[in-house]
Amino acid sequence: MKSTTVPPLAWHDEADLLGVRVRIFFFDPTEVDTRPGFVDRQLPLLQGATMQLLTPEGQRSNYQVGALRAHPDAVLAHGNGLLCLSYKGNDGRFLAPARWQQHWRVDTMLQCIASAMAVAGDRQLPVAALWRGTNVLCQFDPSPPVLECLASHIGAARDYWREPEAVSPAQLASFCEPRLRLLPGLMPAETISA
Amino acid sequence: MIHVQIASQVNVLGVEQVRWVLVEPVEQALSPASSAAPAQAPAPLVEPLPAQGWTLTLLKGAVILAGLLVALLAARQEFGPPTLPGWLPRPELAPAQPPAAPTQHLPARAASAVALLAQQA
Repeated sequence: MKSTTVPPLAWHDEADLLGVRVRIFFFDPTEVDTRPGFVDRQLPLLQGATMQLLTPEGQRSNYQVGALRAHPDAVLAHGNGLLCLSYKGNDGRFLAPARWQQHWRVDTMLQCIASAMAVAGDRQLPVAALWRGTNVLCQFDPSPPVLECLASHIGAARDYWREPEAVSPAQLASFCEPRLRLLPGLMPAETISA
Repeated sequence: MIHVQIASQVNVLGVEQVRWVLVEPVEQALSPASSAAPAQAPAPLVEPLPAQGWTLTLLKGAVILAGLLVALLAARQEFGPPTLPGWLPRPELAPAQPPAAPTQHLPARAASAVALLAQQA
């Protein structure tokens, strides 16, 4: 039987930022925000794809792995895995296609990856980390050093933030960002805004 | 350890190219004391000062004492010894001395004494 290859998604740009491969898709929010379907509106690059929200739109569930607990904005079942999507808490900034890397938010990126880790550990399924901004949709592909740094500092971050049970993705990202900037082989820190 | 899989790629059918990492389970992440005694009162937020904090406190006290000592010495030099009513009375002043004889006229008096002795001789 001849295997069929699935075409890759048509991302507009991609770059390695602090050890994370960031793929970005730009869209016009005035048109996309009026779409009725959740996937068509929040994941415009995957428009028409078959996927299912695990919880109704607007409701959030707890996902925990170890001492990391996340409440992602949306989790969708997509084929053999899950999509962990963050779209709330956006600062409303437009990212220009030519200069999006200069205005990149590392903390937002690390929070999305930490949320995806919590979902993946809780559901024991492969999870892709996605972020939907005002006019962009991004997918984060963290390198092994980034994953290792986040996974190995959960306990230390909980102690640092004095959390008795679990840390949030924001707390873990804040704790790990300066350590990631010191890791050798990642992108120089001065080229990435905090 | 808990297996965590993060997908590197997304396509229209699903996710692919999975990376994985191990996460410490919560039983091991929590300290034995906190897991064994969950109802224990929380630790105070104010921790005792470390050794370096005590050194800094002692240094601050020494600087304050040195400044106070310098101020007292300067006041004693400028205004005299300190006095307190009923406790440290003002020291008695020395009795007034008669004014000393003027010395600018001594040569004239000596000359007149010499002249007087000459007349008597």
